[in-house]
Amino acid sequence: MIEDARTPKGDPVTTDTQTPATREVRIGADAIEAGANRAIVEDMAALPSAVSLRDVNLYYGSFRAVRDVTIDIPKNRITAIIGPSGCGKSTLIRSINRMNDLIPSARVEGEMLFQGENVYADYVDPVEVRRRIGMVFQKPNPFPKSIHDNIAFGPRVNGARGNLDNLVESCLRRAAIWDEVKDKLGESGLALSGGQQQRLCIARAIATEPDMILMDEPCSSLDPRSTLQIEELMAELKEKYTIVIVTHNMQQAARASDFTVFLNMDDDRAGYVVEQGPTAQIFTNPTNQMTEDYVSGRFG
Amino acid sequence: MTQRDPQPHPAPDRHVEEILRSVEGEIPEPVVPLPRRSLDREERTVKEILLRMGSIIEERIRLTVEALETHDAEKALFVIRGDEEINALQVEAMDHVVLTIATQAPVARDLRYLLTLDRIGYELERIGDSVANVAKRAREVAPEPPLDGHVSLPEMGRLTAQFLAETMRAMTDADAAAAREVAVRDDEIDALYHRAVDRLTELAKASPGNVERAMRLLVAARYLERVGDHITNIAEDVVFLSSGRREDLNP
Amino acid sequence: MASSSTSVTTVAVRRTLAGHGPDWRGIVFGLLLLGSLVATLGILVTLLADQLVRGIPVYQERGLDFLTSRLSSNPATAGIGQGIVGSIIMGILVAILCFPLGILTAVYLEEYAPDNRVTRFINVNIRNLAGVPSIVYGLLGLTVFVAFFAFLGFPNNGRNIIAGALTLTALILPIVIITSAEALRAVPRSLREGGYGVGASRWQVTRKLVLPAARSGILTGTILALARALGETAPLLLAGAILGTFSSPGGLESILTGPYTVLPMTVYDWSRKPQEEFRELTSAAIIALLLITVSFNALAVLLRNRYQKQ
Repeated sequence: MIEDARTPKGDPVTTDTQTPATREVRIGADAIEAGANRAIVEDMAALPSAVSLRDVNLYYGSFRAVRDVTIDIPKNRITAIIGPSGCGKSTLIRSINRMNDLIPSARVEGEMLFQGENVYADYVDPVEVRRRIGMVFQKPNPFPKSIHDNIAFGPRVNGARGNLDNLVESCLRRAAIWDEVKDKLGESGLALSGGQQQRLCIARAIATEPDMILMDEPCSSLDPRSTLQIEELMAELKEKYTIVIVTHNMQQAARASDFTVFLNMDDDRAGYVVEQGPTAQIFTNPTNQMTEDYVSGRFG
Repeated sequence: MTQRDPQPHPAPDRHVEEILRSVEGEIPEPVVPLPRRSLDREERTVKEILLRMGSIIEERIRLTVEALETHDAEKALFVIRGDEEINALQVEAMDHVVLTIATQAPVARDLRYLLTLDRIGYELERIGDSVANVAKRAREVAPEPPLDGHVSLPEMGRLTAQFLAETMRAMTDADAAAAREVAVRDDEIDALYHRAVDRLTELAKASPGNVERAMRLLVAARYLERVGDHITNIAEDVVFLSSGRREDLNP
Repeated sequence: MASSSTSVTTVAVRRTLAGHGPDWRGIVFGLLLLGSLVATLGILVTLLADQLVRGIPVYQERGLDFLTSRLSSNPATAGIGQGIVGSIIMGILVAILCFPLGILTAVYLEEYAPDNRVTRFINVNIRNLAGVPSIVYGLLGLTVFVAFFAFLGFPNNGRNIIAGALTLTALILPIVIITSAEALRAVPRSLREGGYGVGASRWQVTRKLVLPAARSGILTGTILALARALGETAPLLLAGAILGTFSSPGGLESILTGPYTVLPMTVYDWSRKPQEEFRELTSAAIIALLLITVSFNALAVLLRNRYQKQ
């Protein structure tokens, strides 16, 4: 069909605007049939996974908080986890980098594969996992140290020696905060505004050169401007890192993420995956009615 | 700004900062413009799809005129078949607009912009449809000898192609003045249309052998006149885009 | 609008805004509070003034000599020299023995111990220990520490300053543990999470984040506990501080293993003497003791302010 579209004079007049390799553009009758939605949406199955969860169940003591989760987090993309409050989103994300190990009654069943290896295998050191999978928390929590030491702390506890000024600068640049703090690296991290503190925490998280960054509602204590700023930052960061963000703000998930996982609570108050897919699809044409109701604000 | 204090005010000291934090919840930060790259990219994408549509349609109009003048049924068939491509592009543009509105929640100028682009896409698709219909007629009259040089149809075709190009350029530049100029010139197309109608009626009355060709050419002329109207609609959308006002450019 | 109706409205508005007159109850309450403050201060000031009036003349007469002289039954030559030396050494020994032990125990209980019945049981009992009367610790000191030194053949039947320091350590250890634990608990969870989040181990988080953050609270608690220990009399009565006079040959070994006394003990001793002149000396010694206590408290406040700003 495409051949017919070429004019006798030569190649059709086109301007290439799409990102390469992932867009499949159907021209001709196929497009109308298949619903041209397909033309703007990535094929999720074709992307490599950073983390795969298989039949994961998470417990606090005997209470099951999260039930039967099987999802793939695609590499170098932003995946949002949305759902009503208390449905287990934070529990889920914190189990990926084993932060929930700090809670004695927390228990994990199932497989959580990070680059092919089960994160909960016996030989795995959780400290090492947390070096490779960084975390940014809901309320910015910079250390009560200088801005420089905030960034340097992670590498140092993981064995880095000597002068870390270059690393500190590079992390602050990548977190889009260098210009604002370059003259006050010796000042306390707590003297910054909320949005700046959170960007500092992001810089801190990337200092250990992780493969993945988990963000647990990173913008919920920030004003709208700082929120947008951090979303733009995330879009830049995904080039190097895989990002998973938990958010109860649906609009943020719609704006900022490539893929969305919708978690809901069942009658036993355990969270389960209702639907997962490209954000474009979830917010324009979801397959599940419950998803449709949730994203259009009809419950939760 | 007051003239008496040229020095920038010093940043608040610790005590004042504490007070500000407890009352305002935050210390003051200088405001800096913030780009919304995803939104901007989507707007650009839609605009580029429309530009591509515009240039394809312009090309097709010229081909149709050629097909008419050179009695080339193959060329006409090519234009007819190619209408699917234009429809697909319009669907793609519309999907982008829907997606962008759903995910980026644009407001104010961004929202008006996207919705207007959607309208332009619709108008372009209608133009493509009309052009295909003209091509159908061209294909039908191809085997037969021309009827008075196809009357004013080739000129109508060339004018519409030119106006479309100018309107799309006005859209790119958000140039309301240029859009208004094109809209005014739609009168020329209307004049040519009426001339064609009169001439074809005359020819039909003159001889029964002309009737079939005359009828087909009449239909084709009607479609070309409609193309002119759609182009005027696009021009009105361009004016709205750039000035925020809705004007009736060709009452 | 007619101006008359405007003025009526304005008057009505003004009346509502002006309220119902002064808040008598609030004022009385404020005065009551002020009054109790004055009363409390009054008592303290009276006590202080009383001692100052009696004791200052001693310093005026004898000055430095009073601070350096040894104990003596002669009021004209008796001084608090040995008491001061004893208190200083006691303070150092108690600090060395008590602080590491207490702080590390608190760190274990707060950061490392699992939250189970055993841990909770231990915590409850530490609180109980903090409430045990100090004389009981004196008995402990006598029967355990002094006996230990005596058994080993130390001079003076084992009644040396080390045994005394151990006794006082036992006394204030529960307090140090409790205040340190509180200081550690006051460190927000978010700080620890931030540390764990960048791949720090529990040890690194504790040492590099939690302890520095709890520093001011821990320091305040330990310094105040030490100040209290230096003022204790009852336990040392049993555990071996000397009443009356003694002399030691000097030198580190004899100081540590020989007879000793501390300033509160001196105060107690002199307060029981019948001679009139010893009244003044007692007051003078009390002044010295108060000065030491006050400076410890001031130090605690200073350190707390310095570290809290960070």
